[in-house]
Amino acid sequence: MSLDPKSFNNPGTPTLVEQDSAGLGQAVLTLTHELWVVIDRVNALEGVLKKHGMNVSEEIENYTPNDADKAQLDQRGKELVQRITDALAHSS
Amino acid sequence: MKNKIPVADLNQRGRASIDFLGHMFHGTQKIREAASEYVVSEFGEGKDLPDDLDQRVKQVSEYASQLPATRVRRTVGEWHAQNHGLIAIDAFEELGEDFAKDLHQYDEGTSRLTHDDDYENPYYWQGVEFHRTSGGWDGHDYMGFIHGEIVHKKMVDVIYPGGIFKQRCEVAKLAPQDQYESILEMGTSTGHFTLGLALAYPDAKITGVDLSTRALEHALRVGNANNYSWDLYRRPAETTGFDDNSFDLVTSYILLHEMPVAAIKEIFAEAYRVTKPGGDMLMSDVVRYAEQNKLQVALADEDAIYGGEPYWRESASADLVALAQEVGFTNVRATNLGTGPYPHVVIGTKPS
Repeated sequence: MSLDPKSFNNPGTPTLVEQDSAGLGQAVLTLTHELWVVIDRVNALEGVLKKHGMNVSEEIENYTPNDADKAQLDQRGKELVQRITDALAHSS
Repeated sequence: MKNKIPVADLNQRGRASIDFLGHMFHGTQKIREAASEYVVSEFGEGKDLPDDLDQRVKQVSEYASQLPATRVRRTVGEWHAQNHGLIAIDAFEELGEDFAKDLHQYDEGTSRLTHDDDYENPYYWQGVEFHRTSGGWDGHDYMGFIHGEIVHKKMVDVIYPGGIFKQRCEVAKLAPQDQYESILEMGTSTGHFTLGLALAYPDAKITGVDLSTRALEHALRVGNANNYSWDLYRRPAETTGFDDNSFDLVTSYILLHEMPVAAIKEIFAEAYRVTKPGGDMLMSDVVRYAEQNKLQVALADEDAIYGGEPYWRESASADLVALAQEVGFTNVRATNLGTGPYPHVVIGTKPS
């Protein structure tokens, strides 16, 4: 281990190796799929609202979910991370 | 929580990004458990592992690397290390200049901040990005708010159920006496433990020192927002410049693992010098390596290496009770909150 404390700023953490590349591909595609679903949904939502004369972009910017929404979002976020990391960890 | 500094309602991108960091933690629980079980099933408590810590970390790390879950865990950890500070900075900047300007209403008030430019930052602090915080503690004009309000209260609190502020309040109450007239806090940072001390000892005059200007600026605002009369100084804890026998209680929270043992010794000596006879010291920090088995130490050490903790090993290896006794404190004992070994709290008294 280096004695220079500044070397801890960028320690060169060993992460994935070549044999992880198959899992990495799976994870990237899983993520792309999830991202596209979200992009499509946001687009659909804004389109529907605009059709009803509502320009909501600023309100979305300042929107804070209520407790129930937050709990649901946290659950979905956890599941998303789990799907991606499982894809990585189980495909190598 | 008592804190009248405006809690930032982050914009959508910042809010979702910060939440995502919490999702990363909770969503990887299974692979963390799998990675842990993998090494425990091989090494048990690590009794047969090398005594030399470098060799031990290498052996455990290489074995752990064979499991894909370990490599993914490290990948997620590295992404978090590189990005959490940048995400928090982005989330703050999205709030706009008006939000930042509003914070300055708390620059004036009942608390006071003195910048002592005569004090040079010690070598062990210069250029180090502790916790791999992008740019270090002074890496942004509003790093105090970013770290104190966004990283701590919106990110770290999600990872530690019950909240880290509650933990700080409980540690503050562990000091031996019911009340203190004057308290010196070494390593005030953004004022989290300071607030805990103020709540535990409402009649005490609190003085704080720290090396980070940006952190102290935020602590000042927290003090002013709550009408506390805190005296804050940008000074090293090793050389505070205060008179001998000035304080009834000298304390720190989770400061000591950010410095080498030589500095800890100086800080304890300084604490002893400025404590009034009959006064107390209370220093809390990370779990001692002596309280962990050999495998746990290897895993903690690896986490420290990749987590921006250059002094963790030597600091966690130090016997803080012995160091406190060496400088003269008596009735020195180690304790904790009764919920586990963290935080390791050392309490002592300066003889009358």
